[in-house]
Amino acid sequence: MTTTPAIELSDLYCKSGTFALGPINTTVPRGCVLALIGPNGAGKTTLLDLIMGLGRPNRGHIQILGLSQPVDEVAIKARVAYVNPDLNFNVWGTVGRAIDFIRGFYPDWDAERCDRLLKAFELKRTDKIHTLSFGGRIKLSLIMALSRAADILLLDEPTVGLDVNARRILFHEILEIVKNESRTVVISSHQLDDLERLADRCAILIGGQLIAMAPMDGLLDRYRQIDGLIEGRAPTIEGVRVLARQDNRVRLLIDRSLCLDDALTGWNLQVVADIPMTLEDLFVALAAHTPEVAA
Amino acid sequence: MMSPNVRRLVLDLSPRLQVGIGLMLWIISGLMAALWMQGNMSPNFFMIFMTWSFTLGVTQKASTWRILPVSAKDLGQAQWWCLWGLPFLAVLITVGIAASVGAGFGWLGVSGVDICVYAGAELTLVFLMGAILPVTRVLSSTFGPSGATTGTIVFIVTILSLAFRWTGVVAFSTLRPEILAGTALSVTLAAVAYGLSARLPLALPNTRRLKAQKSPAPDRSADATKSATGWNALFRLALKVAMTVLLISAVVAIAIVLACGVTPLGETFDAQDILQYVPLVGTLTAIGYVPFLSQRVLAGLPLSALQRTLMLHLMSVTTQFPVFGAMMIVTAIMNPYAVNVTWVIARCVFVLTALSFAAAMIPVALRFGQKNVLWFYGLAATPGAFGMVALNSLDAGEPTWLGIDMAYVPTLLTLTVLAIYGLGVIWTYLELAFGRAAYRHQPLAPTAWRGSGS
Repeated sequence: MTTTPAIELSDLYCKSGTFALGPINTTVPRGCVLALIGPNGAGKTTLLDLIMGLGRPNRGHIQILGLSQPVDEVAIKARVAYVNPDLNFNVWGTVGRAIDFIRGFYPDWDAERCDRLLKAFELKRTDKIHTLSFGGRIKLSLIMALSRAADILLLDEPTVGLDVNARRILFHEILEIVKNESRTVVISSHQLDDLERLADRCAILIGGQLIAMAPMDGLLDRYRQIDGLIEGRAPTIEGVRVLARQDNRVRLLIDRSLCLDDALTGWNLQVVADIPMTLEDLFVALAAHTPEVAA
Repeated sequence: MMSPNVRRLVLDLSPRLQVGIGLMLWIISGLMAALWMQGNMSPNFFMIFMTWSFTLGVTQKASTWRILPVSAKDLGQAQWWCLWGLPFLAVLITVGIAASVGAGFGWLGVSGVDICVYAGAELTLVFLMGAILPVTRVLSSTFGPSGATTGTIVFIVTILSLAFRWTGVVAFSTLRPEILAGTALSVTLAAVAYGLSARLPLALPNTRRLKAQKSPAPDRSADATKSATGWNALFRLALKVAMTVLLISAVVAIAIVLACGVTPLGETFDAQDILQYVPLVGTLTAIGYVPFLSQRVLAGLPLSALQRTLMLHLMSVTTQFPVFGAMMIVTAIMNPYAVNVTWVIARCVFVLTALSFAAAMIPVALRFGQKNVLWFYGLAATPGAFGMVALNSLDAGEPTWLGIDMAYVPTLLTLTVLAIYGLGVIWTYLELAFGRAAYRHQPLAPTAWRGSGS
């Protein structure tokens, strides 16, 4: 099996107006499901667009499966599938015509798989696209992406508007895809509970900065959230963040990679509860205190 | 000649309706060309509509082209074929068939040079249209949905103006200095547009999403208890909307200025004045309708039906007046000798016509939906053209119109269009207050937690 990473970003920087994405340096290995999370406007879609070659960075390099963007843009697009709620297939009129147009560009198109997905997502080839609901249009985009043997799937908000059944089908398909260890899925979504179950790696993007990129378990183990009683001022230790304080009760977020557990002993802190963290808790905590965490 | 990918993109017959209409127009254009060659000197602008119909779908498909594994070179080639290549072929085939059939049957009434000039004019029009098409994309990417709307209007006006002028030149051989000046201006504009299209191709990445996250909005929960339905709130909102509308108007005004440059109004154009009034009235009407696009937003605000009615029509008027002002100035500059009381009166009636049509389009859209309002827009062209004929007669200094003394015609037309305007406003109110498709006013939700009173 090749060791070339699926995605390699080095010094990636893109500025538009007052918003700047990056610089980002990271690597996504093959065969993983990467959850890309972040608040609205954090730059998730921009990042996925840059990876797909739909925009140009101001500087930096993007390597996809060992190919360089934008030099190998066509080869990259042939091996990457992309889903975005903004994709608009209305102009082709019916689902069947849109599929027939798109499939011509991909030699790896799996017609049987496409038919199976159409049935699973309850779409017909004769359905008029402009009459589909928002969720229906997302389903069509997903069918376009999943009917190919793409090495990388970039799914930007793929669960928006999907009903529970469609979401389950999507997750089942993703799990089937990553059974092949060379295929990679990157999902950007706000459905954090779903991502926590599905993804094995997580990237957190806030204000255009990639503030964390690690295996999901490792990321959740790295942080600890505690409720405690403290006299006087809260501890000012690197890696410790006060999430909330009421009188002498505090809720702290501790980054174990920066602050060992015994570092708090000198602060007259009585731990009342060690609260298990979910991805959502971690996201909320990090999103609320970006600058210090980033530091 | 074409790579497989280019072939797939170019020969993709979507959207079907537009392609079908384009083919129909192509046939009509061929018939018109044949008639022209027989000696029936009437302008033929069906070819431009055919090209328009064929190429408009390209902009809609371009965003999806971006995700396909197709090189930038292939995308550029596909774009060239869709915008210019195929329409060029269509023109040459049409003119070729018409000329061959005419020569074969012996009823060719024009010389070979005339046919070449005719084909050249058609090809130039097609080229200009393809060059202008990306402007709508640029406006859309810069100004968002309102830019797309105004861009489309700009596009329509420019194309119509170019079509009337060029086909008029060819059909009537009226090569006058002002026509040449207008043409030179239009060619310059098209060249600039072409330059823009080269820098900003149709498959341009959408950068509108690349916006910084705004700082969190301040807590306004306390304000929720205040009444938001007062007239002060209405006018504050109207002011904000007016600013947006003015921005749009500025863009449209520039477009109109350009269009007027291409189509100077005045007494120097006798037989064709009618052709110049129609697109400009149509444009003003369409501009006046633009504020209706915000109806859904207005419907979500705590405003009464009366307030929303007034706001919609106020916005409509606000949008049209700067455009009208710009148009008056430009036409006056273009034809200084034509400015007199009659000239001003004719144009005031003309803008009132546009105002009243726009006012009528709003309730029609409320009742029958935005798609069907286009039918009304098309049907309104007939009485609109009728009125334009009257204005044309007024401009031309004719003593009577349909047996009516010309002194009474402006008053008669003014009263008619004011009546249409008034009916439009009343109908809007009735639709918003009682119509089945109206978004009914909903009271604000209580600002306390549910069950807090128990």
